[in-house]
Amino acid sequence: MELLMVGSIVLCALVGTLVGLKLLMLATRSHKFPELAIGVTLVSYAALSQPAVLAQQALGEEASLGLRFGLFVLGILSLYVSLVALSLFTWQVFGAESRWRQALVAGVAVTALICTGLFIRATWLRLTANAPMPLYGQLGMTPHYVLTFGWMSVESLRYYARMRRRQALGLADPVVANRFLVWGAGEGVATLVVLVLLVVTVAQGQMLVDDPFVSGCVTLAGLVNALVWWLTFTPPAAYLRWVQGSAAQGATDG
Amino acid sequence: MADLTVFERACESLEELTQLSRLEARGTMRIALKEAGLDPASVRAAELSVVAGRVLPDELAARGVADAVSICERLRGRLSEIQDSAGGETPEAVFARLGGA
Repeated sequence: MELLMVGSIVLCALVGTLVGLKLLMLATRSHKFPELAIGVTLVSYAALSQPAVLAQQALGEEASLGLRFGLFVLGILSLYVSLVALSLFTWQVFGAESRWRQALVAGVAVTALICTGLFIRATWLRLTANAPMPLYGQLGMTPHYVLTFGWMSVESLRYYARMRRRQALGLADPVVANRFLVWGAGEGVATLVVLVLLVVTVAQGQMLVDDPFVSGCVTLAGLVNALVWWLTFTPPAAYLRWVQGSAAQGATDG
Repeated sequence: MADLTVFERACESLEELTQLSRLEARGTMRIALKEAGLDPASVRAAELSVVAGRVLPDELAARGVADAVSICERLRGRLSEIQDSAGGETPEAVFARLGGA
């Protein structure tokens, strides 16, 4: 099970890094904010945070305190950057002028920063003074991830419903419509997985890293993330043909 | 006049072409756009023209407007003369670009 979990994290890190770099390259050409935000989201999560988690696990207790803590801080700060960049992406794409979306992004950024600081402090005390990790330390930014993934999912699926109506009038590209579905559904699965982890952590009073159920959730999240990023941002030609063919078939049947 | 959106100009035309009040014309147009999955703030003239051809006639007929099809054809003629003003970027445009479409 552990091997499967590590495999899914490695796959997620590889796909996320490649797709994220492609989006950042697009941002350098287009000078547009959405590709910059989502590129930063993927690169900071997949190329920094996930490798830091893997390195921590691989080094174990034998590594020096400084190295372990340094990797932890790198991982958690990368997660924070990823979270805020994803919130900014959602805000800019689905309603840049909307006041409530602006407030939501600001709220996520500020409260997640506070949680990150508390998490880093609690971890330092655990490593240096063997202090017990409080529940807020166990949770870290998990509630923020539930909120951000859930928000992104609802916005994407709502937009997909509108795209379906446009498609019926020939006013929408089925490939782009499908992109909203894949992205929204993927974020929906991620929301559920993180929510389950949050509930388990609160119920148990601690994050059970070695629990098979928790490992299964992490594995599932990694695999879903990799698939969603691939199909949304670098879809293979065969997949695009399948989507177009399905839409054409649906139009004929309808 | 130059600052009016495509939606607002279409509503004014609909008001002129029918006996509908300003409020009724705007409401009917909003319902037709919602039915088509479009947003009044970002709809383009070409998209509104399709809505006027395929969705609006039924909405007008449902409100007792006589000769709805002919009115919609005249509305489409007016829409063809409208130049789209450069609006903000839509989610559709962003996702099209991000996936390389």
